[in-house]
Amino acid sequence: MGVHENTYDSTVGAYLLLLPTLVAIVAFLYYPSLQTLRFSFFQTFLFGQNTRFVGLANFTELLSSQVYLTSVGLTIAFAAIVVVGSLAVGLAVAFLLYEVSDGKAAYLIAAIWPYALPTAVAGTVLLFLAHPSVGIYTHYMEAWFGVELDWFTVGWQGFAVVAVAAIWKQIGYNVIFMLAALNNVPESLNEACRLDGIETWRRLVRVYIPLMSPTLVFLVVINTIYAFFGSFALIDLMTQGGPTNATNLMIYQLYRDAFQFNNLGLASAQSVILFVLVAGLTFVQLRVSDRYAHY
Amino acid sequence: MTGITTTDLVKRFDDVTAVDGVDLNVREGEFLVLVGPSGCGKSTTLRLLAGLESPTAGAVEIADEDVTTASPSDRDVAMVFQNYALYPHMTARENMTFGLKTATDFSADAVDDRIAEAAGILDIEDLLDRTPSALSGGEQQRVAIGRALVRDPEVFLMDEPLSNLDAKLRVQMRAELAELHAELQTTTLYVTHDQVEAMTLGDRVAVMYDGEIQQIAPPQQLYDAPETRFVAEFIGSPGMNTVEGTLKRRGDAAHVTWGENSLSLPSAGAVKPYAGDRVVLGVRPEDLTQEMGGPLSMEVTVTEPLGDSLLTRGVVGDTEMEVSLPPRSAVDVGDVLSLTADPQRLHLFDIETGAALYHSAETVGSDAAEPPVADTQRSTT
Ligand SMILES: Nc1ncnc2c1ncn2[C@@H]1O[C@H](COP(=O)(O)OP(=O)(O)OP(=O)(O)O)[C@@H](O)[C@H]1O
Ligand SMILES: [Mg+2]
Repeated sequence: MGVHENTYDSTVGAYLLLLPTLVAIVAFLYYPSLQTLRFSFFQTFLFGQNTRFVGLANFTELLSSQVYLTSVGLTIAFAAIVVVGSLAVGLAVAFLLYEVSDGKAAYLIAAIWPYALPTAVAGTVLLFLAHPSVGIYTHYMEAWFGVELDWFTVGWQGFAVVAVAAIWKQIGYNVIFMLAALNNVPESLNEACRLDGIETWRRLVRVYIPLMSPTLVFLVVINTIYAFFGSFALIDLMTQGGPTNATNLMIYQLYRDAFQFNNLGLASAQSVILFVLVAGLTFVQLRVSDRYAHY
Repeated sequence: MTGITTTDLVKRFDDVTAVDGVDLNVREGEFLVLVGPSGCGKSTTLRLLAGLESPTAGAVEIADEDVTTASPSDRDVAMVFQNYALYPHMTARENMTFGLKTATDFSADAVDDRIAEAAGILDIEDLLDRTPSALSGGEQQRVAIGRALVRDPEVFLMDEPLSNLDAKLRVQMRAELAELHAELQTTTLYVTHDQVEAMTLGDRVAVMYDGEIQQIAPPQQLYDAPETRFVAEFIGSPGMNTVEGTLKRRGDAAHVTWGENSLSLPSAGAVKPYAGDRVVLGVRPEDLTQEMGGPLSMEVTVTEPLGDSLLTRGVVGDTEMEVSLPPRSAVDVGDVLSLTADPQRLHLFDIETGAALYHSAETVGSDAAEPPVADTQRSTT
């Protein structure tokens, strides 16, 4: 650092060069965030034109609301299922793609196209494919397994359908990164395994996964954020938080308070809680993985 | 009998023929070195033996058993890879034990004993709990060898294991490998492109060129009586000088001339029958000496002081040749030297096929059937 200290006569020059970036960051990142934080201490009327300072009342209201606490629980369960599910399925698909030698490109395209689909389109398509009365998936599930499927009215079924949709949508993204990581594993390690006759499963667990760990950590973080925020469109299109609030995740509750009930203050408080929750989780994930991931 | 035999082994990749009809026989307990220039198919041959590639044609036998189509793990071979192929997330010990239970049937106690023993031989006891990133190249290489050792295989396959080391460490590891082999007596096929390594380590050396084995012989015989022009030029540092000239026979005497230069061959009757008179004469740089009024005259173009000798390159007739002169010889670029060749060390090759026609010292190196385990003293000193 010492060598570069005198490149500019004053630090003013340096700050001038940084100015455009700083302005953009402040205007579009910090200002809205601070505004959200400020709003969370106010009660708002008339789309935020009239405000009244209420201190922590929004937070106490939320934390004593059974509906909201249920939503937090649901969201955490949802995130856990989506992160584990999309990583596990993604890993299985990526490893199969890595091992296959014929038709690799075709399989790869098949595996990642859901990711290329806009969420709104994916949600609409899935809504029809899995529609309780006219959906083709539902039809065969009922025909083959003899179960009664009605995820428009049965809570856990609605939750499951949205979770599966969210996992399905994310697989392509995970596969791309995982395949890149797998391709980085030196071929000679593979050959060392072949010489010892190490079974496929053990090779995946003992060799590939440890060597992919930096990518896997990155994907855990990205998938967590996706599960908390990215499922909004799917819920809005498929269940609108129902049935009986079974898919009323925090991000959806937040949207409803802000834009259906026009309660910006309450929504801002939820925003802050959501932010703290996700930031905290990410922090813990990175700290834990520092200890175990092999870089 | 735990040797390796290949019969007419061929490997083609699309339009490249990497291995072209190799017949190799590594005897039980032998240390055979496969040497050749880059891209001649050494690694491919080794990988065919290990089962990492499947041959286009031909057969592989290990310990008298046809393993041509057997999977790598069923061949009881251990391989040391050119880049070590250590698992970067495992400690040295884990690298050695991982897969050991699948590959062999040692009990847990036996595994511990074997690791301790191998670590002792390789002097890596203190490094066992480090990961490869905390080891130097030479240490990683010893761990890689250790991984092969603890498997106690029928056959070791080593692909240029020393190529990433610095010159000094390479010499040291070379000696350690020779010692190790003297102790274990495991059949070993060792690949290198370094002919010094080949000469010092091998009980016998196989020279490979363009997918084909040119000659398999003990090191000294390879040096004294190369069977092809390629072997002559490849073995030795620098390799043998080869000159295209005209063979003239007059009764029992014969000589080879090119330009103003001429060398006469002793006992010319030994020259194999040959159509035409154009031949390739071979003479090693170290068999040429300066002599007043000698039959060859060389105009010096480059001098390279090597310390123990002065390597001098120049033009004889219109052919480039090298001569190894005593150190500190007073030779400058542009000088014209008179040279003579040791008459006992001349060679002739077919100008078309490169096959040897004549070695003036045919008495040397007729011991092709030398026992497999030659003295390893040679390489450790
Ligand atoms: N997987 C492959 N696909 C196509 N060609 C290959 C493949 N592997 C090797 N070759 C070709 O086969 C030839 C022999 O390769 P090989 O790796 O056996 O050479 P080598 O003697 O080990 O050389 P080096 O000393 O550089 O390691 C080369 O021309 C190489 O390009
Ligand atoms: Mg090679």
